[in-house]
Amino acid sequence: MAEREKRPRPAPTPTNITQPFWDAVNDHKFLLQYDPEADKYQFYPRGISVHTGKRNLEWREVTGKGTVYSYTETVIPARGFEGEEPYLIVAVDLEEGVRLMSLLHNSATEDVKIGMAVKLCWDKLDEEFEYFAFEPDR
Amino acid sequence: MINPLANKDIAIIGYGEVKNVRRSGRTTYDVAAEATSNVLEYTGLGTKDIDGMATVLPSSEAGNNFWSNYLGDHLGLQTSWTQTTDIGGASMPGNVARAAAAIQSGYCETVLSIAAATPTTRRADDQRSYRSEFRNPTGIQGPPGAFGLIMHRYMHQYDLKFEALGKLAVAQRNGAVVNEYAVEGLRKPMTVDDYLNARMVSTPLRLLDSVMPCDGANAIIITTTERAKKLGVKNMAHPIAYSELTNFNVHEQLPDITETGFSIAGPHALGKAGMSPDDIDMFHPYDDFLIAEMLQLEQIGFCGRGEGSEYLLSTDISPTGKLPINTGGGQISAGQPGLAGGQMNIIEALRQLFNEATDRQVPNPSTAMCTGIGVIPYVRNWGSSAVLILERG
Repeated sequence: MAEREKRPRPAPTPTNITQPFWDAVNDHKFLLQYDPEADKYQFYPRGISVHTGKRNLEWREVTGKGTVYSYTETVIPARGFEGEEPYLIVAVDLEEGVRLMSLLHNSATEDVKIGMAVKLCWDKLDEEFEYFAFEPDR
Repeated sequence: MINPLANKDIAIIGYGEVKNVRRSGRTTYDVAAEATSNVLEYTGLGTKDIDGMATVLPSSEAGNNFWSNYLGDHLGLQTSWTQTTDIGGASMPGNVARAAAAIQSGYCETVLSIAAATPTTRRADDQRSYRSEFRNPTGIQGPPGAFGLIMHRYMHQYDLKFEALGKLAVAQRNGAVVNEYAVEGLRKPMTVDDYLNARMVSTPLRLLDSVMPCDGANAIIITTTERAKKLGVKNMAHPIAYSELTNFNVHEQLPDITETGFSIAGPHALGKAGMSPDDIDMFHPYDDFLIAEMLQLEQIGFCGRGEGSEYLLSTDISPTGKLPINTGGGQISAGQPGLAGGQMNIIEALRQLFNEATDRQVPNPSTAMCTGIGVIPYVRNWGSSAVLILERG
């Protein structure tokens, strides 16, 4: 197969809901929406609590530590990742009880195990934007 | 349990379809017109006999917020009940139940339920919400990536035998070889080794776990059993039970992603019909990926959790077997004409129930189960699950 042309990695377009989240990511902080009535977090960010149906959500900074729930090695790359294959995507359960998905860095494929400890790290998308990723928490 | 379909007062009286073709260069309206013309010819009805229309919003027309109006206008339909359903691959089985309810409520009497999509010629969809911010920038390979995550988790919790998925792939390919409506390039026999040696897309998911996109359309006509009898139709099938669930487990932030809405909708539909899985003569599951069919077998109740591999390996799933599965090739081997793929299984079930499946005919079937799957939410299993049970009239 001919090598695919490299396209820019898609950058998120912040919305009125997610602007505080992306502002924090660009400061290397990770915010989750917290529902004080349910005493639960949620992800992705929404305009309503999925736990209570209320809009009393607070942003809380979290540690970004978690464990791998599942993983996949991408062999045919997605748009904007041409030439970087193979690369690892992980689903991660944070200590705060939400599940995230992103790239896993600094790990060989054969070392990835469900249940392994990981922590957040940061990818520079362009001059303006950073994105969250994970790496092993050794 | 209330079952509005229990009296068998609703009948599906015919089907029409279009050959699946990659990059056909045709408009969604043109493939819809061909499918409509074919189902009208099959039933002997004219456009003026149709007073209701149900369809699905395809990616090729997703930017058009008057899709139902434009489609009905193009086809020459004046309707007193009009419905576009947009729960992805669950939309078309869903439309059978929606049309039945509309007919029973007196809003219309005869419904054209039509699915048409040309995603390999034109795409006009723009899915926002979590997708543009939390999916696309991660590099996950879309649905194959999501199912890679699901498969690895399944392997962590249960025993997955790839030979079982290979057997399913081969059985469906045998159907596509004798299905003249399948994408021509897929009408070649394959072996279990072909499956096992196929290129990885997003581990452990292979190219031959997946559908091939194409353009296509298909249509059925739904009316009252009373009118079907008056018309003297040659064949009819009754929808006898339906169950649907959207956004399964949405409140849970750490759901088991091997679980789906079929664990609820499957037993519900069977319960409404007063049936057990043994009463189903053939299974026509929505098949975006092979593992999705295995999860459905387990969660609807054909076998226990984690027993899907053993079940597939020990069961004859060919047209003459104990449980024939996707005898026309399914979407995986006949091609996926976008969201029009969600009615191909209903068409195949009708062809079998009407004893018109020639080289792949199931011996004298009287019941069929068809399913639908819609959308992949953020790091979850699919969002919509639909189960439709049909019985020969």
